[in-house]
Amino acid sequence: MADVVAYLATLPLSTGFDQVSDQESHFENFINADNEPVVAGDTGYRMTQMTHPSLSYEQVWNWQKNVQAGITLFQEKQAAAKKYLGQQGRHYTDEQLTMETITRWNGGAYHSWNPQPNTWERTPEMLCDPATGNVGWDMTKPVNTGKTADDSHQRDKGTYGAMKAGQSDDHAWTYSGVCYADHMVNH
Amino acid sequence: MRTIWSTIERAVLVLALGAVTTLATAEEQTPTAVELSGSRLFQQNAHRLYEANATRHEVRLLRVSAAFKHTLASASSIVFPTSHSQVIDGKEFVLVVVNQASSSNPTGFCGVGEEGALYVLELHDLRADPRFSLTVQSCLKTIDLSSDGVKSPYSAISWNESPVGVRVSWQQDAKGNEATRTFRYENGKFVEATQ
Repeated sequence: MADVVAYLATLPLSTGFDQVSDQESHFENFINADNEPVVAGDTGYRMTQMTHPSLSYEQVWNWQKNVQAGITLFQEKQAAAKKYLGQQGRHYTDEQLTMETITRWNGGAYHSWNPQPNTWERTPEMLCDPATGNVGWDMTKPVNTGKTADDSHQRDKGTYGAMKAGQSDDHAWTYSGVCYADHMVNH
Repeated sequence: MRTIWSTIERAVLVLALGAVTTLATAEEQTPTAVELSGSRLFQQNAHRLYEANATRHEVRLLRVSAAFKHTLASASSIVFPTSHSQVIDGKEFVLVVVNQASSSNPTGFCGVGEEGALYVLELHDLRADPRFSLTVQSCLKTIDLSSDGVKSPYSAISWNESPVGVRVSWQQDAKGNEATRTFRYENGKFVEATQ
């Protein structure tokens, strides 16, 4: 694990990537007991658990190559986050950039623009389930309005196992990049 | 001039079709229906396309090709970027973005991301036929529609008046650049207009 952290420190524009790779495949586990790469449910490989684009044989088996492939994608997401947050001369903090980048790694945008105080703010309607990696509830949906995270967790937790098939009008939870980023910084 | 429907008539037809896809974010939501000529609405429900007629109080399923039916069936979401159709050379067109899930691993790279293709559909005789398609967004390839963080990113897709056609703006296109491209209608096709 120390090797991974040290290697990441040598790479530019990788702030926040350590949290992503740690979440997706704990450093110490990315080669399992059989000395084989850790494989995700959809055959995403190793630390970065990337399914698309497909990794080369070398990228799968060489951890430094695997990290570099992930870093390249992370840098793309960070560049996109900078364009989004910095448009029209808008100000953003390093923390906002990290949250926006991590969200975009998983999918979606973390911030929306509030024109009144002229600031970026976390997408306000997404309430996250702290017991999960990236499950949340859109609080604009009537079935979720007024519910606490605990209320909705108790209502929906039995359907999480079915993944997207478990989502319905009555169990209106969703996977969210916003919750993914929140989970990253809080764990 | 196009008839403007009353709120009540519109609500009745929306209810008749059941729940429709909306994008629920702090950003402005996208239209749940497209207003067509002749007091009709274009909608989608459960991955199928419908035409609703307020005057006749009827809702009819639109036929599509087998290939496009498959595209719709596998979609993670279906979005209407504009609230009205465009009649060009006597043919009526609507804009639809069909998104596919980027990944089947929700907690991985692009786990909640989408790959989105814009379709220009020609509506005729209760059919919807794609006449043009274009990748407009991709989590995997980091292609992002322009978004000011207030309006929906899909507002970056619009009808263009001159030249008549479709206009798309990207915060980041496939080459990583901010770009706006116009696709003008020409002899039954939509072709990229030179700047």
